[in-house]
Amino acid sequence: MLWLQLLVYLAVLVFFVAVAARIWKYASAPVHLRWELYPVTADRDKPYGGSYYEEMEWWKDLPKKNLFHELLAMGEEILFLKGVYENNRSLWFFSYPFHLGLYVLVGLVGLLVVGGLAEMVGIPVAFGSPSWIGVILYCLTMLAGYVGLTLALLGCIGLLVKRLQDPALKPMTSPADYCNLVYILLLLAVSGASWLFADPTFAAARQIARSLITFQPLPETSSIVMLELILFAVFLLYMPFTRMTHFFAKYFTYHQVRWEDSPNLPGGQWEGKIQEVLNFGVSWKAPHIQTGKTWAQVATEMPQEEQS
Amino acid sequence: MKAQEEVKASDLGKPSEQITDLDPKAYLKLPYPYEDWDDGEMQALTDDQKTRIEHSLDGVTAIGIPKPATKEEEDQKVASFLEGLGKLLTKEDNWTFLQPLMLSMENCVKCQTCNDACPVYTSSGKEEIYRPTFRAEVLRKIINKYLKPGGKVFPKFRGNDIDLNWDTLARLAELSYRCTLCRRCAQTCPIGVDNGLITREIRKLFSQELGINVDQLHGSGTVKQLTVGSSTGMNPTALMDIIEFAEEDILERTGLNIKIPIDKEGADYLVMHNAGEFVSWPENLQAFAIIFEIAGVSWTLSSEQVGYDSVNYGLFYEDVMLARIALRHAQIAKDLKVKSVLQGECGHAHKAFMPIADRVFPAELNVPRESCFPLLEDLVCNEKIMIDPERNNFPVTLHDPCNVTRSMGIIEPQRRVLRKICPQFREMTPHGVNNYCCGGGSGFAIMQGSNFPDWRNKVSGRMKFKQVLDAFQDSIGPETQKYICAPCSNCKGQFRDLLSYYDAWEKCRIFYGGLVELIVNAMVDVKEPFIEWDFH
Repeated sequence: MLWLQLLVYLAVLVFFVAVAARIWKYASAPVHLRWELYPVTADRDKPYGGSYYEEMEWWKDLPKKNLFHELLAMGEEILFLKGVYENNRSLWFFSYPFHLGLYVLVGLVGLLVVGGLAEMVGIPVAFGSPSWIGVILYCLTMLAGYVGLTLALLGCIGLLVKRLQDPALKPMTSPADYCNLVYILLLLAVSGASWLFADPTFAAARQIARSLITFQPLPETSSIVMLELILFAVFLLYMPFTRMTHFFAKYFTYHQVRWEDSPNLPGGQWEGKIQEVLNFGVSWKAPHIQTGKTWAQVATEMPQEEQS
Repeated sequence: MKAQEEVKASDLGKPSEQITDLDPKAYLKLPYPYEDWDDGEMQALTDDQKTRIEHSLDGVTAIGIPKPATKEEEDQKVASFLEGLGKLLTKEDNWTFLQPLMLSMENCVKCQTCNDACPVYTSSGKEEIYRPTFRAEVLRKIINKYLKPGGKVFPKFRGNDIDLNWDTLARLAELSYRCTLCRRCAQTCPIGVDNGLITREIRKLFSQELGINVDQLHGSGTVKQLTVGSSTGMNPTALMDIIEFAEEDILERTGLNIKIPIDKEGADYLVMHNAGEFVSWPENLQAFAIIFEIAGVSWTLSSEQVGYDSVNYGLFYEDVMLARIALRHAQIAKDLKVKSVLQGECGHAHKAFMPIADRVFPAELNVPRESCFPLLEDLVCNEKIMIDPERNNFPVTLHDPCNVTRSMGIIEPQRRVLRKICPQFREMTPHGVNNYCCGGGSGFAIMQGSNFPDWRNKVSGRMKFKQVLDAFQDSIGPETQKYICAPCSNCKGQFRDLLSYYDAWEKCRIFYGGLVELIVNAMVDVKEPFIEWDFH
């Protein structure tokens, strides 16, 4: 079982390193030109989508960004997939239970870890536990497991069928896209079978979680639970290299592009960054560009083709 | 040719006479009195054009790319394209949009939520190649297959099933000019992917690396503006003649003896107009002058080369020319020591000089820049000029330029003015940040080559024309004169062509113009009606 334990550690490590690398790639990109899109949610004082450009001498009295409005918009989007609901209702009926189910299943992993820790300190996690903490953990785990699984499974089947049948989706779906969905479906189905037939109260799963976080050998367990663990580990291994990374990329698309309307004011946060990028070299080769010079030089010279 | 629902992104690299042929019967249906309007077939290219110019996408040509003479030339272009594509993904060459581009390229889940937001896709009868996701998917496949390690391993399975050859490039370049960059698709994307941005990046790659661009935007556009002074070809001497004519015309039309200020140092506002107004709609320039002079605004125009034309077509196709023009504008404003630069009625000039160029200005050139609409609102709504709304007692609707609304959030000032001065003002549906593009966005309105204008009138402008008809349905007949307020020079150019193509002046008496013309038309200080209802 050591190999399985090592596989899970490797998967978790790769997952976090790959996600961190991708986040770093986005976060460390240089300042870009503004490309906001209205409505910018922080401006809900103008719910029709208005901006500070609606004011004369707007730079003299810039409105403060409203963090509450931003969080509210993010919450609506994350918890309810509001954008899909409003613009693609037929997809939302499958996409929403799928995503909601995944959120709940992520919560399940957390509950298993907490449950494992609780048992380590002598709190039995069971319906008849003498500790109310153990009872609550048990009930929440059962609820999260079966509700999350049902939602995700139904949503996943729906998404797969829709991709196979919808004339708008079908031509844009590659075999690899189908494989991703089929793989998730397989993982969910095996997990469901594992819980129903081998580990209905998540006792084994808690033991595994406890072993993993305490670096103790995994307990002996049934083949189907092992298969579930293998499938989960492989999923963690390849997921950060797919488009499924949109779960964190959305932060950047919204906060650093779509809602990023802070102006470049004298002495403000952008001046130094702009100076830095204007010193980057330009190697574009079209005739009107003086390749080899800096952006600052190229942007202040006339088109080369006209000079010659 | 394949049926449109069978066309795939990978087909762009396969040899065929033409990828798709538009079906006029599938076009978006128009309301009364255009239910039976016959668009006919798309204007065909001449045999000579077909021999010389790439047209194998949809039989339309926007760029007019000459066909390479030899296979070696084709291969060289393909190699240049790949080199440019690599640059698009580096921070040095593409710091301007690297982060948004990476985010959009790497995180689209292909849910197709954006499709129905696109007026080109829906107006064309849902032509497959016009899907907002289609051209992005082509670029994605090329990047994945040719630039990423192991991209050619199981390409079909991974969706990288595209061959990169001259056909692919020529069709992709043309396809990047079948989107008006209105960004309505981006607005609906739950992830924040922006296919409009990707389209502009494709245009940029072709222009900045291969020198492939639309002549009206580049050679006769930005280059002419920087070297002559204006994309219209107007040099400073011609400007002075036009100003003199405008002053005489104001006197003749209104009896007002107004001197248009030129190069007045230290004025509150350096007003920058799209020079297209000077040439095609001088009444717009005149109306601004009348309003500002009567209201006592401190303003000036610049006679400096480039400084009298707010146009910046770089916004439509590349960053280098965008930056060159923006910096030149800023330098001129700084030299004149004005308090701020005021953008006239031009949507793309608003966006280019205010938010987009905001991050190309070094500290010494970071001049204050603002829109004309809040100032006009202040003058009208705070009664700094006297208005008689009854003079504008005819149906008026407002077209929202995408660059002013969706890209800048200037929504209400122009509406408050219209509510005050036009008793029969009515909105289009949808409007504001959710508006539809006029169909002439991203330079389309000035692209007059070959059969592209026919495509623009029939396809990209169709949704807007439908909106106009819907807004005026209560008085659609020719007995009532109606006014589309289009406070943007490019949009006005598109309306001129649209109304002409659909014969809407004759059939429905639908006219178009700017906001300031309506204001002056209602001004108590101007004795005669200012709007002449002379369709041009």
